[in-house]
Formats: sequence, structure tokens, C-alpha cells
Amino acid sequence: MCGRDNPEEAEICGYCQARLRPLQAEPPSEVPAAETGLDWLEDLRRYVPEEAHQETDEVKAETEPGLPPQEGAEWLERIGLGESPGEEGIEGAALQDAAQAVAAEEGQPAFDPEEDQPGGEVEPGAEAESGPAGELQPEAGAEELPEWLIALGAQAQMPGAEAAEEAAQEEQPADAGSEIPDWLQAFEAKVAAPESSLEESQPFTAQEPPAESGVETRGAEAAEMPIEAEGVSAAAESPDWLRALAETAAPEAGAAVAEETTAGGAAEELPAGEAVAESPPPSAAEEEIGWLETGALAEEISAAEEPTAALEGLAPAQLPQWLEALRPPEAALPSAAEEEVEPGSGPLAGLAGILPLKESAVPIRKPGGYPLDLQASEKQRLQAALFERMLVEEAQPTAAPAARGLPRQAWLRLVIALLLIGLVLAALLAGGANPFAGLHPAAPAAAASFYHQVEALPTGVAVLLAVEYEPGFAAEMRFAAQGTLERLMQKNTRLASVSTIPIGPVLAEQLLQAAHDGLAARDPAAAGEYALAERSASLGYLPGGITSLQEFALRPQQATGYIPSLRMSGQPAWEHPALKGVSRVSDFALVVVLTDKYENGQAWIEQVAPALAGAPLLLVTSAQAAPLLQPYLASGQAQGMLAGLAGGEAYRDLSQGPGGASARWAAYQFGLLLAAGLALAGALAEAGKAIVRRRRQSEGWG
Amino acid sequence: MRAPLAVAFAIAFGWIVLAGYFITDPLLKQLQSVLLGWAVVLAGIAALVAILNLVGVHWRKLSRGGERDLLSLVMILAFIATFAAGVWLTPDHAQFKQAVTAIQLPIETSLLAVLAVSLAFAAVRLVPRRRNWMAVVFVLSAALFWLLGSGVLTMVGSPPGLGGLSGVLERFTLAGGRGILLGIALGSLTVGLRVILGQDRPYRG
Repeated sequence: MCGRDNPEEAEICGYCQARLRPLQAEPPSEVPAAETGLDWLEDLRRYVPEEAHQETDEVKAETEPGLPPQEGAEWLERIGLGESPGEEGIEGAALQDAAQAVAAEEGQPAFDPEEDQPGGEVEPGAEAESGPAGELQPEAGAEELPEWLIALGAQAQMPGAEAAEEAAQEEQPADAGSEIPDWLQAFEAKVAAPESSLEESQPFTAQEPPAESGVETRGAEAAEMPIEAEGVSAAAESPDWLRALAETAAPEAGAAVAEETTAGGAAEELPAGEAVAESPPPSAAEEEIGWLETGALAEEISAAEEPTAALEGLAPAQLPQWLEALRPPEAALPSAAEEEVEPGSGPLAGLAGILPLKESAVPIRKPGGYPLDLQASEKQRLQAALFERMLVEEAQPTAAPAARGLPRQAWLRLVIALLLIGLVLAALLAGGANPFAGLHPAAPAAAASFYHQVEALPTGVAVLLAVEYEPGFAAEMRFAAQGTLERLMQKNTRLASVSTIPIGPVLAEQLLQAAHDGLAARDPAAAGEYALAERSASLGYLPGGITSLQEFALRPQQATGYIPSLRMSGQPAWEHPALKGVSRVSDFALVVVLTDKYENGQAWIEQVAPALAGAPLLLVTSAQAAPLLQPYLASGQAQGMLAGLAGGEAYRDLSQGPGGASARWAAYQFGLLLAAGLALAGALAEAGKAIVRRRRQSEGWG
Repeated sequence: MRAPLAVAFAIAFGWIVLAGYFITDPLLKQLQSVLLGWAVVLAGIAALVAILNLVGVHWRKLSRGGERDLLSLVMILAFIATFAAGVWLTPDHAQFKQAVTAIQLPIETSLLAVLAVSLAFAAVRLVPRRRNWMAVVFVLSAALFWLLGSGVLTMVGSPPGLGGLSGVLERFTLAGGRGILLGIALGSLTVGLRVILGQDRPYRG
């Protein structure tokens, strides 16, 4: 069906799965009767007693009194052999119905199984020759088989004929040879005329089922199947009324039917089919004669259907010039000869005039095997290979590059560290002997306020120190607060320390000891008079953060009563001489908060300062916490602040006068200058690189 | 059943403590002080639980199969020794204080010294790594503050406009710090109200 070449021994097309060899049996001329399975009939005929034959003939004569005994026997034998063909005829009728339904839907001519199937149509001239597959050769059967078996074989080729007989017998089982009643003749005369106009679009309108019971429908359809085959007998024994009817219906038949159908087919429209069913089956010789007569009748019908005869009086239509220009040339139109395809192989081999495959209503083909290889271009293959290599490389662990000495940045980092350490050590060793000695920034207003608050403090009062910084900031906080603590010791104040940091009490003790040592170095008399152990007390650690500060502000003795060390030492903290007369927070004359984080200073200002009852709260902070604590200073919630080492130096300048230079301040200065110089150097180096790069690009080097 | 009870207690205690700030009733103040005392004790216990949890983590790291972290062993041994010394000598003992400060203080100070070196290195590498105007402005402003903080600019006397420049810079610092504090205060107020009203329940566990 697909037109591709296949091996000669193949039975099914390897491309479209179409059967290359027909399923029909080989012509009996080439196959002996024993192989066709008909030998049993011969044996059966041989062993059946003669009485049985006579009995059968008598029974047939009784059931069909119009038939002669010989014809009745053949009819009975045909039934015996026609079971299988009869079924095929029914199936063929079903297929014909389906084809008509498809054709009706698509507006195409109905599929005619009698034209497409080999053997379905019996050409008068081709019947004597070696016809298509499936047709039995009468010559071969005449030599070896008896006459009645040859008749059976001929009937086996025409399954529709036997089914038509059965259907006809079902409709009119008796009185087959009687005359047709007048009412039926009148009905047929009426039906033939209107149906002829419909035959152009539905050439087999007479085969439409009457929409009654299924058995009757199939019987009627089967009666229409062997139109050409039955046409022989119909023409031979057709009565006068049938001939008259055919002559009357012929001029009104469609042109398509006249071209395609054979003579028998043209004569075997609805009335003819019924006539066949009513007439007794003819013999083979009579069929030959009838076929020829029917062919002549078809020629007459075709001649009568010429349009020129009917349209003689009409003037030919004149198309406009523009419409003529649109008309395709005659050469481009497919000719009828081109459309007719005669396949050389397959189940339709040898049949002429079949519809080409391209015009089939339902193209049936099995999809061929699609190649599994990806159709990709060379570029796509390269990209796929690249992507695959990338995936493989991603999955593989990459070995760490071997360290070849210190990288460039490590060298730079090392140089910077050495510069910082060297400068700080040099400044510490040099003491105040440096070019920048004595250069201090102007004391901020917060430092001045702090100084004035401390100076305004009476002698011998209780001062609370909140040590809220980590050990890492101990150096900065110590130098920031040392001047203040020394001044408080000079004023003989009682110092109490408390902290919300676990290591705070220890740092507070170290801070006081460092301040006392500094005071001893600067003013030994004052340091001698100030007994640190008696004038200072540690309230310990306050767990709970802000919560404990709130409790400490409300009830300080209860808040610090959880400190086990104070109890285990045998002396309650609040009974220490430094805290004599102090039971509330408001009993402290001054609160100094030393913190490295703004959160701690914020907590003291918000939680404790309201409970001080007017006592000042001063802040000593690290440089990093000062900016966020300045708003509290500006709002008056804190009365003074010293920020970092610079704040400590500012207080020292305020308390002792300018000119005093310390080694630590010098080291701090050098460190700041070195940091500023490095940052500017890095920026300038990058700017120089950018300038050189642009110059090279402008000169075309890069 | 447990969750509604916890919510009820949290809300009730929160309202009592908050009312103690505004109402000067002796009974309410007493109740507030008691509740705060409980909170402080619970905070201390929580710190102890955190320490035990830390020890447990290191114990698991030490006892697990495969790679064992020997530093965890050092940590556990140091914890046991410090805890025993603190219990035996008491935290108020001078030697115990000296032992703690001689270890903790230099370590944390050294970390800050390393931070100073890293910041100096970052100042050098800032502009090469980020070639934009913000990096340049940041480096220039940092250098200016360093010079102002070192006091070397006072060597040239009082340059015209320097005082005004310092005042402008302090205003920037003050404005920025106040804005941050106001934001934090508003956030804390919102969170506190949500907790007191029961909308946020961080204590549910």
C-alpha cells in the first residue's frame, strides 16, 4: 500500500504492515480439488445413496413448488456450501454500510467493495479468463468435478448471490415464479423515478437498510451485493415488466452510475434486486446470455444520460473573462487516466479503476519506525559535549593549590602588623618625648561637664561604680577612668562596685587597685591616707541583666543578697564600712557607669537613673560606645561622659592642666596616624593604578 | 492546657511589673519586687543551665566516634578545674581572681589587638576592592576622624573652619545615634506590648 519494495517472499509489508498477498484462496485452476477441501463433497456425493438424493429433491419440490427438481437440488447444495460465503456476504454488507456512512459524511462517493475487492465484481469478459484472485476457474472444475460441483464453485465465488437468494426467500418464501401483483408494479414504477435523481450522490440508495430488524436488513443488503453476478440470471429470466422498468429508469439514471457500473450493475438497482430475489436462479448458460443483454441495456442507459440530449435547447453559458483567467489550464488538471491506478501487487493486484491511495477517505497506515538517533547539528553536538564536560568537572573534587610561601596579601598584612607594633612600642619606650607630645584634641563639653560633676562632689560621700565592660576593653577603660578614680580617692570617697558581667567584680577590683597605684605614684600622701580595702566594697555580680538592674534600683540590698561569696566571707556586703548609711540607690552621691557597650549604659540610664533621686550619673565609655550614648547626654539623662582614651586625656588635662604627656597617649596617637596613612596610601595607590591603566589603554598598550 | 496557663501568667506578671512603674502603691511595689526577684533567680538558673548545656555539647563531641575534638577535652578539664577552685576557694579569693584575670584578660585583649591590625589592613585594601565613590568617601572620612582624634591638627593652631567642621561632624554623630536609639525604643515598645497583650508568645517554648 505504501509503494515500497519488499522481499518477494514477504506476505506483509515491512513499512506499512499491509498484506502483500491476498487471503483468498489460490485459483482452483492451479490447486487440485483435494487441496481446496472440496474433495469431501465428492466423497459425500459418491457415498450418499440415490434415495437420499431423490428424497432431497422431493423435499425441495415441496418447499419450492415453482422450481424444477434439478434447480432445487442445486439450490439446496448451494445452501450447504454457501454458509461460509453467506457470512462473508453479511460481513461485506457491513463493510459496505460503513463505507457508505464515511462517504456520506465526507461527501465522497461511497466505497464500493464490489469494485475494490477481487472477485466481488464479475466481469463478463473476464470470467472466462484467469480472473483475479479468489475466482474459481470453470475450466479446471469442468475437467475434474461433476457439473453440480462446478455450479457450487461458481456460487461460492458469489457469496452475495446466495445470500440474496436467502433474503429473497425470507421475504417471499413461496410462489417465487408467480406474477408480481399490480400494486407492486405500481410501487416500483413510482420508486424508480425519484431514486434515479439520488443515485448521483448515493448510487446505492437501494441498498439502504429499511431500518427494521437486523436480520432483514442484512438479508436485504446481501441481496444487493451480487448485483453483477445476479444480473446474468436477471437478464436471462427477467420478465417483461422488469425490462420495461429498466428502460424507463435508464434515462433518469445518473451519469456516474452509468460510467462506473457494469451493465448488470446498472440494471440491478432496487427493482432489479427485488426481481432477482423473486426470480428463480438461472443456469450458467442463461446467465451468460442475460449478462450480455444487460450490458446492452447499460449502453442504452449511458447513451440516454448524455447531457447534450437533455440540454440541447439551452445556450452554453459564457464565463466572464476574469473567471476564465482563473480557470486552471487543462494540462494541470489530473486526467482520468492518471487517476486510475492499477496496482501491481497487493490485495488489489490486477484491478483497474480503483481509487488512488492518496484519495482514500481514511488513509490507513502504520507509522514507520522513527530513528532513535538525535538529529543534532555539529554545533549542537559541540555544545552538548562542552556541557557534559562541565558537569563531569563539577563532580570531580579539585585539588587545593599547593601553598608556595606566603601570598601577597599575607605579606601585606604582616607588614602592617609589624608597623603598628613597632610604632606603639617605640612610643611607649620614648614616653612623652615625641614630636606630637602635648597635642590633645579640645576637651569636649561632655568631658568638661564630667569634670565639674566630680569636682562638685563632697568629700567622703558614697560613690557607686558600675563596671560593665569585658576584659578585652580593660586597658582602654582603665586609662579612661583612672584619672577620675584617682580624683575620687583624693576626695576620700567611699567606692562601691557592682556589675552585671560575671567578671565585672574582678575587673572593678583591678581598676581600683590600678587607680590607687597611680595615685600613689602621683600623690603618695593622698594614696597613703586612702585605705583601699576599707574605703571600697564590691557588691558583686547581678545576674539577670536589665531585670536585676531594676531590682537593684528598687531594693539594692535584696538584689545583691544572692552573692554567695559575700556571705561566705563572713561579712555581708551592706555591712561594709564603705557602705555605711547606704541602703538605697539614692543614698549614693554619684553613680559612674563604666561600659564598653551602649546597651549597658542605656540600661543603667533607663533603669537606675530614675531611682537616684537627683544624684548625677556619669558615663565612662569606650570610643565605640560613645556616639550612641551622646543623645542621653544631650537630653540630660547623663550629666557627663568620658569617651575612650581621648576622654581620659581630656579629664587629665582638665584636672592637672595641659602639658602632661603620657606614653600611652603617644602610642595611641601613632597608631591613629599610621592607620590614617595606610588608608590614604591604599586609596592613592589604587588611583595611581587606575591612571596608569587608562593611560596605557589610551596609548593602545592594553 | 499548659500553653494557656503560661500565657495567663506571662501577661499577668507583665502587667503587674509595668504597673509598678506608674503606680506608687506600696503593695504593688512589693509585688513587683518579688516578681523581679524570681526573675533574677530564674535568670541565674538559666545561666547555669546554659553552662551545663555547653559542657554537654563538648562531651558529645569528645565521646562521638570517628574524629574526636581534643579541644573539647581541654574545655571540659578547664571547666572542671575552675568550678572546683571556685567552690573550694570561693570567687572572692585573691588567687582565684588572679588566675582568672591572668588568662581571660590577655586573651581578650590580644583578640582586640588582632582586630586593630585587621582593620588597618582593610583600610588599605578597601579602595582596591571596591572601586566606587562610597569607598573613597568612607576612607577619607575615616582618615579625617583619625586625624581629629589624634589631636595632631591642633599643632597648626586653630585653622579657620575647623571648629565649625568638628561641630558639624558631632551633629551628624548625634543625629545618627539618636535616630538609632529612637528606632530601637519604638521596636522594644512594640515587642513589649505584643508580649503583654499575648500576641507574641516567646515563652511558649
